[in-house]
Amino acid sequence: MVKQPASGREPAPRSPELRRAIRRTALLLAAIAIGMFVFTLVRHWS
Amino acid sequence: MASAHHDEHPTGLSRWLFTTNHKDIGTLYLLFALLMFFVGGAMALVIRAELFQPGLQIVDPHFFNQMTTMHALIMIFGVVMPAFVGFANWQLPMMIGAPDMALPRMNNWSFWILPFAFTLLLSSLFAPGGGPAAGWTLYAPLSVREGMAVDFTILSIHMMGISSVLGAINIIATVLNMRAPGMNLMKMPLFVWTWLITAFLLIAVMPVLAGAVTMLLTDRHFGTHFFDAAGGGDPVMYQHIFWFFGHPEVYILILPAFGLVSQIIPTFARKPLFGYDSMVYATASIAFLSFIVWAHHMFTVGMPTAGELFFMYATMLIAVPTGVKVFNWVATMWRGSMSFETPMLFAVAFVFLFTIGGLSGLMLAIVPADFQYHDTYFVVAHFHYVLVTGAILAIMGGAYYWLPKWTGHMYNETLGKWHFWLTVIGMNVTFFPQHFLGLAGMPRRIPDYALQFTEFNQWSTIGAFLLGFSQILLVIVVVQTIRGGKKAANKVWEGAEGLEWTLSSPPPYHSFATAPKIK
Repeated sequence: MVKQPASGREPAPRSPELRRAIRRTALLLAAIAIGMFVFTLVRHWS
Repeated sequence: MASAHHDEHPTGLSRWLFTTNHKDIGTLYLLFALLMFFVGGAMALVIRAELFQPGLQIVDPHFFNQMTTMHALIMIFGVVMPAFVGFANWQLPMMIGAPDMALPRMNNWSFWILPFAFTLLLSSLFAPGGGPAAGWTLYAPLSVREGMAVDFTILSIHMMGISSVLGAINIIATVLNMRAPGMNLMKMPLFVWTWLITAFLLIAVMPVLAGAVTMLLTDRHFGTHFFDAAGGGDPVMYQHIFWFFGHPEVYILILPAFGLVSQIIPTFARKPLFGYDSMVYATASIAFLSFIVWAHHMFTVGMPTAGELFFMYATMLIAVPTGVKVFNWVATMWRGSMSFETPMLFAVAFVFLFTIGGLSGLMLAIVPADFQYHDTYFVVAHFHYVLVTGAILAIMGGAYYWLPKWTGHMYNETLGKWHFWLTVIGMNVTFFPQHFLGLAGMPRRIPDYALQFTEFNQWSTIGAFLLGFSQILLVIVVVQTIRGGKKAANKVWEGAEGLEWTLSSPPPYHSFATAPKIK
């Protein structure tokens, strides 16, 4: 069950499909960012 | 429609500390940017006051270097970037028909990292030996040998980078997943498009800056020699890594400005944007090209001729999509029913003055000419035309454009026009003479200069103080508009198109609790 926010601080709950899609996009982008950081260090490590 | 439940929110300090609402966070970003604009601006005035006449008058050279370094870091990371993220937070959900950003809790964190990052950066001014003084680029080996302020700066850059990357992830996740039914990518307002592309740039290059300053940190404290020639490292490699971040960063600072201007001009020309598709493709082309031009910042380090030719021609190529954009803005205005309210004045000034910055950029792209211009005031004039009469004018135009929507009140048009004219005159008096100084050979980043440069420096300083003090008008207008004024209609401007204008002014706490249908 998706919890209804008590204070109105957050918008109405999203569908599980939307939550999954957002999570997938965010994780992929975070992986790209971390990958770029690691690549920058490893590329110049000699 | 917003229900009563959805308009509930905490009050007082906890509203702002714990908010996950895109409008509250947008407001926080914009107010933070405004505050930092005055901090960074005060530093610019210290620089200009010292340069009013030759010789050393007001500050010692080391403090002067701290001011140039901090002014740039604050204006780039503390003003232009947070201001654009503020606009994105306020506008993106409303423009695509979403109730909020995709990741509201992370949104809160993205913002609240920033005040701590900048407190850390500013506190380095009180560190032993003073603040960072190696320039905002923190070139090695100077930055490897400077005092502990550089460590403060490195940590604060890491924090700013985390904030930016989190913000960018949020923006992409919102635009890709939260659009209203029927709003396909090629129906999105141009401001949304420019921010989507900018967010990809941020994710690609902020980690590279983080990598560069991490290597700087390990060179300083952990015995590595990435950039130390004595240990087998290469200081020029730092410049390559830095500018691989730095050039896309330039477009991070200008693409959202293109988006803002592309919203404003059609509204006040009362015509749809000319060449929407070509605007999108031009933005994407500029973003792609921004990754293959970085070494034009370092033509004088002694690159092979083939490298210089490649980076010269690649840089010149950027003029093509940029020219497409300028053409489209002018064509949008062509035979339009134009009116010149304050946002439009800022947008038209942007088109004129940004183009001057673009053209001086083309001059700098020519390798043999750059050998002459490099590290002179011509470069300072160029990037201030791009960033001040470019990005800052667009930000101010965007603020006037949406302020009535955000607050529910019309701003004072007379004061707005006074602010515009004083700002634009101040900017040009400040930065245009710097072209002449650079062409005559005055180096950048020096507190003293030869006598023949005096007159143009005096003009520049007078312009800077006019520009600085006229920003008090901006604060007056913003405060007045927040506190009250004539009630703004839902559709504030006659020619405005877009979903945000279908909402009330001010909009409900959660923008579109039910997604609108797009035809």
